[in-house]
Amino acid sequence: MEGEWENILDDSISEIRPHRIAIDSLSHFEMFVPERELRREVYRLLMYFKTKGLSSIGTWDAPQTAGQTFSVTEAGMSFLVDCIVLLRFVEIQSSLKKGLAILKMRGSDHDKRLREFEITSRGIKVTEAFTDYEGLMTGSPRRSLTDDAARAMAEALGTRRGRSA
Amino acid sequence: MPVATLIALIAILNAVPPSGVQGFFDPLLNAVLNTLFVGIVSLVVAYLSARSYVLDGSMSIILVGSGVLCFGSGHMVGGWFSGSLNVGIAIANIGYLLSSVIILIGATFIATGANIEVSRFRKQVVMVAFLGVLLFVTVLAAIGLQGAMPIFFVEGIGPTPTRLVVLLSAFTLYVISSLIFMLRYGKSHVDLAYWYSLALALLAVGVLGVLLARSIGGPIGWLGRTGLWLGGVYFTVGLFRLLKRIR
Repeated sequence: MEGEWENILDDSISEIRPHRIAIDSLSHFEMFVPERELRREVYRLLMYFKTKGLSSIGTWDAPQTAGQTFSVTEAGMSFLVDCIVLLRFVEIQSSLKKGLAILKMRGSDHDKRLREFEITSRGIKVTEAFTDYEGLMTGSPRRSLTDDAARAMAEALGTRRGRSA
Repeated sequence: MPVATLIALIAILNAVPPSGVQGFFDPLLNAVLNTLFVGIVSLVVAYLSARSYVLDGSMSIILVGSGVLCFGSGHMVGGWFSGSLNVGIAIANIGYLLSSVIILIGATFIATGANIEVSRFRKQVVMVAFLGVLLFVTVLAAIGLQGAMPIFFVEGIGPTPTRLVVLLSAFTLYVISSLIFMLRYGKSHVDLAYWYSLALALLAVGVLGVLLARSIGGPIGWLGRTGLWLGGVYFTVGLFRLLKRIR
């Protein structure tokens, strides 16, 4: 692949003069590049965008198997990027919800919570964190014991009207 | 059952003329038992109350949690204040009084169904409430260290009028709170209200016991302290029942 895609991209970048570029998806490289060279190729691509002054956003299919932990990129590419946003489905009370978590953001003390997000007609809407649940990332979510106890205490001794138990 | 038993034993022993025997009292043992049965329990109750308040916003919960924290921290700090028996007793006793006042306010919220709505800054409310309580106990300890604490207890004689007023007030307020919690249980049949009610009743009996004790190591003093420790145990049982119900 050496040299091929640079020529193709050079023309497009000169024509469009973009500031940002989205690669959907970096996982496609796996189809064309041997596994041992994958990291180097992705690195080349990202460095290429950087030299062109482009901010790049790439997607990567992270395998998600119920009951197992996950690996962000099996090829070990986490160090190549400044920021990693994890998107995954979580099952809560027999319904699938979309979860979003910032795994990495260089130079930032970012929010560590897994939050729900929705794709609406007006874009992505990030909403509440799944604070009532533990084990979401392992595929075995269960409600947090202390939160359950706190809610039960509120039911027992609380006086607030319109409580959503 | 323990409430009735303790009341009966205290009444019987109080009716018996004092023998003049000092009895047994080990400050270290007392401090350790205070920490185990009351101090740690009050921290757990306060923590869960804080979580509950942040989630739900019911002022009654944070008031009761703060009251229990005040009782536990005052009792624990008083227990470890081995330098002067009077100072330790005074810190604990004033802690009971403030605790009973705060818990009664919380119980009144429960009885009336009233609430002060705070939709934002709930964590700050928790911080102010808990830090306020802990600051109060710290100030008491500082006053004690300065030697400015009034006389609360004279070994072999019993409580001073100051202590009498403080403890009788705390006793009365704990009893009223206990009744309010029992009424809540009667309406809601939620175990936690039942166990909190019994815990508060035990605190009241415990306060009565330490009030009537003429000697700190005497049997009435021990019964009083047992009542206070059992109160901590009953708060714990209430929390365990709560956890059992949700799991």
